[in-house]
Amino acid sequence: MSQAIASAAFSPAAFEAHLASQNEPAWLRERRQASHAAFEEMPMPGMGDEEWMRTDIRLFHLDRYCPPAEAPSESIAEPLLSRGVELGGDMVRADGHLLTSSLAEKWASQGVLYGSLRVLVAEHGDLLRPFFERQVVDARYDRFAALSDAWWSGGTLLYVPRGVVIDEPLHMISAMSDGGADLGRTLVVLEDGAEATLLAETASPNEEAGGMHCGTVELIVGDNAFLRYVNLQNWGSKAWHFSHQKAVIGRDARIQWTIGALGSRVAKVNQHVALAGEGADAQVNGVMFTEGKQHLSYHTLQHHQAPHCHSNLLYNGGLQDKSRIVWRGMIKVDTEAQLTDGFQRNDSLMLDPDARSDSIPGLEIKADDVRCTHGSTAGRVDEEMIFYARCRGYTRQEAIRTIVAGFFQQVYDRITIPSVREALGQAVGQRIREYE
Amino acid sequence: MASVESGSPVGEINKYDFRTETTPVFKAEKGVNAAIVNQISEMKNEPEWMRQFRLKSLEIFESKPMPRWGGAIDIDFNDIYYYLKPTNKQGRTWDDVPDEIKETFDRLGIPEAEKKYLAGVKAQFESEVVYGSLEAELGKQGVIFTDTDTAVREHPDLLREYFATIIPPTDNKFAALNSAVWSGGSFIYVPPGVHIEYPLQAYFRINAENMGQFERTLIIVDEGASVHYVEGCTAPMYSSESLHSAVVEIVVKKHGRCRYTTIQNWANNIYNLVTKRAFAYEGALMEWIDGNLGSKLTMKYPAVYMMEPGARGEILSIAFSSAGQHQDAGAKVVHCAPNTTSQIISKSISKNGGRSSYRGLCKVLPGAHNAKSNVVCDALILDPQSRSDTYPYIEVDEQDVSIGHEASVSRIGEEQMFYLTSRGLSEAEASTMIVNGFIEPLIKELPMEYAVEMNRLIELQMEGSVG
Repeated sequence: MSQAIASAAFSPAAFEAHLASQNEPAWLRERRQASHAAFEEMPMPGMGDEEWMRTDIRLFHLDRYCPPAEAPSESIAEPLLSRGVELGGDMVRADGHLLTSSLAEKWASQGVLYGSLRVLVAEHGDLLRPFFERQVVDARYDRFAALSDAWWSGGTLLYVPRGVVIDEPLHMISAMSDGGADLGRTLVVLEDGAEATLLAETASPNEEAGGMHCGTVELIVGDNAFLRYVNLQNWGSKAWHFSHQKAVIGRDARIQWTIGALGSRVAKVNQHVALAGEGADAQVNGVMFTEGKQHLSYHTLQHHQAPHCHSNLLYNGGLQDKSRIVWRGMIKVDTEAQLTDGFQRNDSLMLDPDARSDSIPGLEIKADDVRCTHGSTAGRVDEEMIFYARCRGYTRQEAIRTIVAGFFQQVYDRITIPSVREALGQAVGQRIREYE
Repeated sequence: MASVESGSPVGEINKYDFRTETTPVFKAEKGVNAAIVNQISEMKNEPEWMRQFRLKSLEIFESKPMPRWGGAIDIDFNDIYYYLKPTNKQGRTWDDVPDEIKETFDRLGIPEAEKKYLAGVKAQFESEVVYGSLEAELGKQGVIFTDTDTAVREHPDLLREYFATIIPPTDNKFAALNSAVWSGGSFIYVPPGVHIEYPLQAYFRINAENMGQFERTLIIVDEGASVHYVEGCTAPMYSSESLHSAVVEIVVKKHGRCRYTTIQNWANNIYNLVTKRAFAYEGALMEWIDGNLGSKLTMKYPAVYMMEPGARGEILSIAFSSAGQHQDAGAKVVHCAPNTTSQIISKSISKNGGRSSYRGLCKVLPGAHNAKSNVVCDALILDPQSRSDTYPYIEVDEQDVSIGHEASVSRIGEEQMFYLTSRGLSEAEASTMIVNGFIEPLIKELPMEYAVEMNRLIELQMEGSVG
C-alpha cells in the first residue's frame, strides 16, 4: 500500500466516494456527512482524557487502514458460538461486507428482519429511521464514535416486530483480513414483548493478525421484551479494537448481555446499559483473558434512569504475561430512579508478576432509596487451593488449570446458553499457560 | 436543646458573619505574584533558599492547569489576600464574639479556654501554663514542636532535609500555591525511641499563625518513635477568606508510628483543597483519621506511601455533607515494597442536597509482592435531594497480592427506624442514633474529648432532618 493512498484513506474526497457507493436514503446520507464533519474536527483522544489516560494509542495510525472496497477472499475461521446449535438465522461478514445471510422462513414470515444493515436500511428506510434517530450511541462521544457513524459499512440488523418470540438463536461472525479494517455497525431492535437471542463473534485469519475494528453496537429493547446478546471479541493479537456499545431497556424489559474479551492488541470498549423504563432488568457478564502484551480497556456504565430497575454486572479477568486489563465501571442513579438495585463486581486473577490490572468501580447516586453495592478484588491462584488439589492427586499444572477454569465458572454459571459457556470455556482453556 | 431556634443546624450557624476590627501591620496586596511572594519572604526574614523555593513554586503554580476532575472550583486567585500579619498577639476580645457562636460552643460543650482560643481571643488563652510545662517535658526528650516559620530559623538543617521532599511543588496546582505563599503550620520532630503519650494538638500552641490559610506542616517520626497529632477541632472555624490550601508532609522511619487526626469544620463558604502525604518506612505504621464536616468544597485525599517492607498504612475517612456542600474526600495507599499492608475505611453521609464523594487509589507497584489491601466504603443518603459517589481506583502491577474493595450505598432502613420509634424515640432522635452508629468506627478512634464533641456535632447537624 503506497503512502499517498494510505493517507487519503479517510479524507473528505474518499468520504464522498464512499457516500456515492452506498445508495442510501437522503436522511442517512446527511447524518453521515454531519458525523464526518465532526470526525474531521475532533482531536484524537489522548492520555490527558480520563477514559484514555491508561490506554496508550500513540502507536495507532488511522492512516494505515482504509475502508476495504471489496470483501477479502481469505477463508473465514470456524465459528465457536454456533457449534451444535439449531440456528434461526446466520450471517457472515468480512471486512464489513456481507458474504452470506440466512433467516428461517418461519421468522421471516412474521416480519423479522435479519441481515446486512446496509441492504435492509435501503429497503426499509422508513421503518428503521426512528431507531437511527434515537442516537442510542452518541456519535459525538469521541473521534471513534464519529468515525463509525460516518463510515460504517455493511453492518448487521436484527429487527423483531411486536410480540414475536424467536426461540432459536441467531448467529453472526465478522471476519477481518490481516491488516484490514472493519467498520461494522450492529443495530438490534426488539419491539414491545419481543424476544430474541443474538450470538455475535469476530474472527481473524490467524492468531497474530492485525487490523482495525471501529464499530458501534446499538441495542433497543422495547417494553416487556427480552434480549440475550453475546459478543465474543476474538481478533488476532495485533488488531486494534474500538467500540461503542449501548443498550436501552424499556419498561419491565430484560437484557442478558455477555461479553467475551480475548483478542486484540489494544481494545477500548464502552459498554453502556441505560435502564430507561420502570422495572427494567440488566445482567451484564464479562469474561476477559489476556496474554502477551495485550491491553484491554473496558468501560462499563449501568445508568438507572427509572424507578424499580435492577442491574447486575460481573466482570472476571485473568491476566498472563505482560498483559494489562483496565476495567472502569460506573453505576449512575438518577434522582427519579428510586428503589434501584444496582450491583457491580470485578475480580482479577493475576497469573504473572508482570501483568497489570486496573480496576475502577464507581457509584454516582442521586436518589436516596436505593441499594447499590460494588466489589473488586485482585489476587493470585491460592497456594492452599493448589495444595488441596494436589493432595487429591492433581499435578500442580492440572491444579492451576482447574482453579483458573473455576474462577470463570462464576460467570459461566450466569450464562444460560450452553454453546456460549462451552465456547468461552474452551477459548480460555486453550490460552492458559502451563504454570510451574 | 432550647437555646437555638429549631431547624438551625451548625451549617447555618456557620454563615454568621464574623468580623473583627483589627488593623494589620502588614497586609499584602490582593492577588499573587512574584512581588508579593518576595514581600512575604522578606517579612518573615527567611533565608535565600526559601525565597527561591517560593518563587519557583509560584512559577509552577502559574504553569499548572486547574484540575478537571473532582468538585467545581470557582476561585478568583487574584481576589485573595495571601498574607496578613496581625498587629500583635492581641486579637479580639471575648465580648466581641457573637452570641450565636458562643451558644454553639456551649452546646458543643467546649471548655471555656478553648472557646476563647477558637474565637480568636488569644490573649486570654488559659492553656499557656499547661502548654509551657508540656513543652519543657517534651524538650527534655529532644522533641521539637514548633511552628514551621520558627523551624526555618531555628532548625534549618533538619527542616531542609525533608521539606518539600514528600510533596514537591510540582505535585499539583494547590501544593504549588501553598509552596509559594505558605505561612504557619506545625513542625514536629520526634527523636528515636521517644513515645509521646498524649496527643499533640495544634491549637495548644500559642502562635498567631498556626491556623493559617496556607499552613505547612512537617512531621518527622524517627526510628521506633511514636506520636499522635491532632489538627483542627469540632467547633466551626471562621475565616473570611475563601480558600484554604494546606500541605502536610509526614515521614515515619523504621518501626515508627504516627497518627494524624483531623476534624475539619470550616464555614460553608470555604474551598478546602489540601494535600496530605506520608512516607512509611520499614515496619512503620501511619494512620490518618480524617473527618470532614464543613467547607463548601473539600478535596482531600490523605496518602500513605509504603516505601519499605512491612510498612503499614491505615486511613479512616468520614465525610458529612449538607446543603451546598461537596465533600470530595478519600484516601490513597501506594504499595512500593513487599509485605506491606493497608486498610481504608470510608463512611459518608449526605443530607439536605449535599454531595459526598469517595475518591481513592490503591496502587501496587511492581515488586511489591505479598501486598495486602482492603478498602471498604459505606455511604448513607438521608433524603432524595442528596447525592453520593464512589470512585475507587485500583491499580495492581504485581501478581502475589490480595486486594479487596467493597462499597455500599443505602438510606436509613425502614425497619431500623420502626424498631427505634416503637421504643419511644422520635424520628429525629432515631435517625441521629442510627447516624451515630454508622460513624462509630471514627468516634472510637478519637481522643475522648473529641469523641464527645463529635457526637454532639452530629446531633446538631442532624437537627431538623427527619429521616
